Amino acid sequence: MAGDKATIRFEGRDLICRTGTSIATALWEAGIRHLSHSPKYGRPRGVTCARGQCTACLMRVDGVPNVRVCETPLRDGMVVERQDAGAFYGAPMQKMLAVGGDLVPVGFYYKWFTKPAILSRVFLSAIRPLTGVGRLPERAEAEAEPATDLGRIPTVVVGAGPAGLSAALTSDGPVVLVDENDAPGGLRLAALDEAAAAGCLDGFAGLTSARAGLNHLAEGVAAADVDLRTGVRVVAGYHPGGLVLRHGAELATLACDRLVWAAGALDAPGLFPGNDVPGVLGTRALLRLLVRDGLDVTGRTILLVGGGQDLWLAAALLETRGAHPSILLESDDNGTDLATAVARRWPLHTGLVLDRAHTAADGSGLRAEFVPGPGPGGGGRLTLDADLVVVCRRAKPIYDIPYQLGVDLHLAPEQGGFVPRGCTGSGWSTTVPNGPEVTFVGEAAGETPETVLAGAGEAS
Amino acid sequence: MIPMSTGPVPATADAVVVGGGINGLTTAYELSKQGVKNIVVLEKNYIGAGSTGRCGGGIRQQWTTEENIRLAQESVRMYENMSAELGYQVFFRQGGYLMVTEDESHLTSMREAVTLQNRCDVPTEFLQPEDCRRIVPDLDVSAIKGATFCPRDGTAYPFAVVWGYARACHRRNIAIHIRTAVEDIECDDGRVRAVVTDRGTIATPLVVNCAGPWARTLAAKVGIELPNRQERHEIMVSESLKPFLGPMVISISNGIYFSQSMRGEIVGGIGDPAEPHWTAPEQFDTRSQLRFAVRFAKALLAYYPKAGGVRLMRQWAGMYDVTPDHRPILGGVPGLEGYFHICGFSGHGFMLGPMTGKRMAKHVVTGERDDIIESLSLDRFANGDTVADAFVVG
Amino acid sequence: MSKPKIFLCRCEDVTVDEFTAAFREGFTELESLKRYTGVGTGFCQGKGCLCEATGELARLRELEPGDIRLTTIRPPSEPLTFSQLATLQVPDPAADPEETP
Repeated sequence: MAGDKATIRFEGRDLICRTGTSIATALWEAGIRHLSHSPKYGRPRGVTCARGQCTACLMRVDGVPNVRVCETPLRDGMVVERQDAGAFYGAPMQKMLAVGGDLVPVGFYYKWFTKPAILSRVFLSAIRPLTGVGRLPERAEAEAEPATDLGRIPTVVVGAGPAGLSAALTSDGPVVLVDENDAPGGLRLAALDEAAAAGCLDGFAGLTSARAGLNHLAEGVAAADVDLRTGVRVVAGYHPGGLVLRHGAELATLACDRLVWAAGALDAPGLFPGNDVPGVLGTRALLRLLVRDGLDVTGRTILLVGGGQDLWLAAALLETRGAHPSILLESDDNGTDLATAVARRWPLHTGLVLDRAHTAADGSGLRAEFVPGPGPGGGGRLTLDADLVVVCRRAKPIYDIPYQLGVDLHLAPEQGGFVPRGCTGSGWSTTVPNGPEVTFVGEAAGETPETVLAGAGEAS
Repeated sequence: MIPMSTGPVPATADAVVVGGGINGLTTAYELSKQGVKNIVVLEKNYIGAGSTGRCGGGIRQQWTTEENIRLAQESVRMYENMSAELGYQVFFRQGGYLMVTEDESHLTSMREAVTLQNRCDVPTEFLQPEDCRRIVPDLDVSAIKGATFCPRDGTAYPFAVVWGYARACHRRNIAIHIRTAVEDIECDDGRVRAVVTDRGTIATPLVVNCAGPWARTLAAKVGIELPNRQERHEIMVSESLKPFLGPMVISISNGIYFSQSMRGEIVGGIGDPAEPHWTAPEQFDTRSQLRFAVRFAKALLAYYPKAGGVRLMRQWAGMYDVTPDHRPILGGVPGLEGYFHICGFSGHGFMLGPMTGKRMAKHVVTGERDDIIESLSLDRFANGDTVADAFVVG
Repeated sequence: MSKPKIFLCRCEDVTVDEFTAAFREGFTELESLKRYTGVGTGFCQGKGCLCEATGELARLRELEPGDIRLTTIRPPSEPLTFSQLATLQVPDPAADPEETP
């Protein structure tokens, strides 16, 4: 239950945290942002994807190494530790690289200390103890129950966002709809409902209509003969059509004749100096922390950089939660949402783009620097301070499972990332030789959130 | 700098080596050391893309035939000096090989093998199950009946080895052409004349077939039928962990092997008797299978229960080029001058390649007799002169 | 003072400059760049970097992004523990397409 208290042991001290949240969120609320060290340069890293899909939050929990604390629920009495500061290369090497990194060539470990043979041997013995991240688990795992095999299912829809809900409603025959979140409608529906209830969605016409549409679709799916499974993620695909699903720690397998891939997109904050600093996140990560974990942001300044409907949604939800959204629009936006934001008196800048981010000198928060954008009307340089820097830029379609089933992909920048060759938009299908038919819909097919949400709006 | 051309091939060469894996690159390098000038290496994919880059990187001397022991021993000596020889770190670490069995019936041959290996100066010892914990403290020995351990066996990083050889080849002016496929080998009058590729034709008097799983198809272009079959073998890598495992652990009973790489990952595979045997590249299917991941996980946990909380990160497959007696095929063929093959390593090409490349280069250039090449010639199958090794695992 | 680092791959700490340097050394394909620099081999399995690395390589090679050959994206998508995998039944061997009617 949210609101209950639990005590965890973090590196020798007891932290009193609320339960009903992830370990990472509890640590953030306790002021601990630096969860791991990067392998080569020893840079501090913190929650980045909030979905258990990156390296930034791997910690040792109760003697188990490399636990993704961003999606591991907090329990009373847990022992949480940061892992080796000198991961992979060792602390002395990291110091050298951090200072003289520009002088050290890429792949230096192939090129240095190779001869004579004795030096090479000494080098290997010296670095061997330094390699690796995390120590072996202290004990064997308890034997788990055998996993379930769900058998062959005619249609599996992965993702219960707007595109997946529509696909599940219009599919013929038995449908299994899986989604990694706790409820259909994705993170956005919960965020939209909460912001609307507080009146914070007022004036955002697109979001208001998307909310109505998403609710309509979710209700439709609830009423229809759709086998909805929430909290389930597809974690592997094997040709010719085998999927491995994960619910908590439990796995299940199934085979499908038709896969509707509506898994959405991944945050892509982009390439800029400081893109790895703890506290620099994407929109989806922020929504996940707010909606799933109930991250306490009361009184915090959260900088939203970029544009689009997700930026306005994040701003509305942050206001609902008593935080101070601060906005820097990198791209043009439609006038009505902008006017609403101005009316809310949210600090707002335009005509600039993010140049770099870093931790403030006193370590209290983040500092983002902006430079004039390519368009007209840009001002001079600007520096803004915040507790989190959330980059709301074009996200990357999720592509891994269809590829593993045998769908050929290519990089299509105009669609945000990897999509099948020839995929021109939502509803594009292909049949894998000897395998299932795979249909790409929504953001996974390279659509923008704006298109997908507008489509949901039309559904109501 | 490792320049790898994707441009047109030269019109002539003194030697063409087909295959950019361990065998092709070591052969090209050693041919150059034997004085051959214009050498071209052709790789249809990228360097190490075939079996070399997909292998587990193990190098062991624990075999049951004297010939295999001596070959492996020579290779280990080359690996011990390889980083210095190439000026490139190949991460050869001698953590040893611990070979275990769950079958009483293996114990006699294992003891005999230890005696034979010791006679060849390979320092292998026979271990009782409980002694295995000296080498691997957390090993579950409850099913193990006996083991052998050789501390001089080890592992290297396959890509570093091929990059190191590619760089060394470049320094010796050997041209490496990647993304270049051989379409035909032209012969007349009992001699090799040219290699036809999709980027042009190279007139050459000498072709060495180091094409690994594709060697059978290439040999067929000059009318040679190799008895090789190709098998898919899968392998996986775990998340990286601090060093906890010294040797490669390998089971003669179920074919699992696993070691810990210099990056800290568990690298391992397991043989699967249900795998089909293929003979044509169109059949090769190296897509991953869940069956492998599950079989490997179950077998690993039986030997190493503490790995339960460790995560499998990714799995992949490669092809073994398997001969009827699981030993390589080396040498030329009577009646066709200028053609040689180095193939059929049956899953052991990475461990034997440097040494066979060296012997073959010398044999090809000087024409000197080589006992080992002779005993591993293609003729042996027709003559019924084959001796299988009992320790073929994985 | 070092140049500011722009991270292409955070799991393996590969910067854009390092990726470019590896390309200049002769590693001109994603498959080779992946093995040499570590891009895409970390815990995230390329979710954080493969698109970005592909885009950078297209820029370096002056090719259309869609023409860059991808590396194989291998299962599982998210690392699974050996204990989890061991709870699954061993699937039957795949039927050899050559042998099925």
